[in-house]
Amino acid sequence: MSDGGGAEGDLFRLWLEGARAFADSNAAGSAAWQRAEALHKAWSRFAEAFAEAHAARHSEPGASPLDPAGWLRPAGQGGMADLWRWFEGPELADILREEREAIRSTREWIAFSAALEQFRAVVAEGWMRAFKAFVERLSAELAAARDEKRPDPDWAQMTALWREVADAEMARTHRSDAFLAAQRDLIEAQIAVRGTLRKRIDRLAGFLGLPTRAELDDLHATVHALRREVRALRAGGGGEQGPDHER
Amino acid sequence: MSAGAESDRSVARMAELTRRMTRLARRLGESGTRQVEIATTPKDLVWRDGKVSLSRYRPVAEPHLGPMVIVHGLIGRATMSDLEPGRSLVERLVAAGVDTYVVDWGNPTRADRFLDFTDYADVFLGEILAAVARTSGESRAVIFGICQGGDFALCHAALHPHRLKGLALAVTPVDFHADVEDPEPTHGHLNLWTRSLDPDLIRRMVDDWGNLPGELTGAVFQNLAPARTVSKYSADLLEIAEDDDAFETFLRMEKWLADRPDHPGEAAKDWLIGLYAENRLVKGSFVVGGRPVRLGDIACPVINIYGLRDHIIPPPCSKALRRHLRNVAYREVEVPTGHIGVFVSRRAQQIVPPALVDWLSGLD
Repeated sequence: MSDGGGAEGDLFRLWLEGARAFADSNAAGSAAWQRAEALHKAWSRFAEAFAEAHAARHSEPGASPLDPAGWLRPAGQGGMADLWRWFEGPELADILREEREAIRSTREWIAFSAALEQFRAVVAEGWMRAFKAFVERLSAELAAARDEKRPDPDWAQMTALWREVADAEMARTHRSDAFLAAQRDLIEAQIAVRGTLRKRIDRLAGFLGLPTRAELDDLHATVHALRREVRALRAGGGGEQGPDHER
Repeated sequence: MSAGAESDRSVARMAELTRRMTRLARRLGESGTRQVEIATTPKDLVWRDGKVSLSRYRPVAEPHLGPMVIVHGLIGRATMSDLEPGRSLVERLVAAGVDTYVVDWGNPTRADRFLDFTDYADVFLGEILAAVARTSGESRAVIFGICQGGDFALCHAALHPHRLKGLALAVTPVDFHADVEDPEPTHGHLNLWTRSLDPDLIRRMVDDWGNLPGELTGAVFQNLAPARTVSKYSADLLEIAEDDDAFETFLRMEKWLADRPDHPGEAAKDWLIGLYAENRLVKGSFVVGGRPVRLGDIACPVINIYGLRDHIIPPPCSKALRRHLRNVAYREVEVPTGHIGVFVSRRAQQIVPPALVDWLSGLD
């Protein structure tokens, strides 16, 4: 059974145990193994100290380049955000505009996917807690039914129990700081990726002489303003604005 | 219980479940070949402006109460108050002699994204009341605002205090931050979620979409009670497979839910930022038609109906209205249902129409 690190961790531990047994089989090998272990411990202490110092300087989650959560961050300072900016390069007037936009939309799509995964993870954790709570409640209910010599709950009762437990647990999840933050990040990421894509499509539409969304919105805004003016004029001239008794 | 008896029970349960599943499959197959009708109470168009229209229900007896205009919000369609014969709020009101009208906001498209609260609460409602006055011969009418439609009605009543004979509200949020007073943890998620977003983020989100898509608002509502959403199409359906009336009601409700219009963008910003996030209605700083809406200016009698188990509009958000009115007759009606149940449940049918008719009978 894994005690951390998942299947890869188990494999690594098995490999280490095998290596240690091999080293223990002769004196020279054993000494070499001890030196290697000492070196490994020293390196681990250095890495931990470095990570702690970095975490102190980058208190926001994902802000440190050592934190994988920051590798896909779309904005901010530090981490992969700096590297992405380096990839995109400076904004130049006449060259590399399309390439820069392509890199930006790729970055934003990756960031959106990461935000979506984070959101899903928070929700999935809620469902897992709901499932655990349901199993506990159902087990207690079945045990009580046996003790009291009454029939087990039928499918309708079990469904009602599941609905009650799951909705209560999901309500807690939906009110949690983790959910609210994941929801905010997802909306931000979605706005960014849709905005960049729309800009690229609008440029293509302009190139082909097709109306862009911005142009249609301008038109609709103008029509809306004109209709208001017509209404106001009609009301001023005895039209049908407001009930008769107020005219 | 012996192992044999337990085994017999399991077999019987499986047989029962199989029988219900077969029955359900047959029902679903049959219902796929016919049209489910909703909003069948006869009515006639009396006014239209673009996509917005006003209809008058055909009286079955000489109307002696009203006129009353039912105003829904932009989130669900107006057909909800007339979902099915026998359980229709409209049908009962008309039968009781109420001269009843209903506003249909239509299906807004991108061309309507700039319509805001001023258009709906001030301009359209003003023209609608004028049309009712012309049709009925009565100079003043009652507005019956439902959910967001109640906020349109509140704004209109406060800005034009002498236009209305009375103001009826149902499941209408007034204090959008009063959800914190509701002890029920499954209530008020919409309030919390919106408050957790920066107003600038909401503005950019709505601008990004243009209009709020009906699918988006539908998904948000589904997530308010996710387990119930899942069981609705599984265990609940099996439960009602044997019940003709319940299955028919389910199909009608599904038809209403599936017809979810897009919400015009600028009105969505007023709704989500001005009301949900900044709670301006109770602060007297919500501006409609260039003027701040002051609830204390409302001058007509008010009846306020709310659902005790409403997880969408928590009861304290509706009941807060009492604190903001001055010197007007105010009546509250509590219905032991959720948001939609106030209009469609059997229990509510015994409470809401009689309460409205009784209240209307007491108006000048």
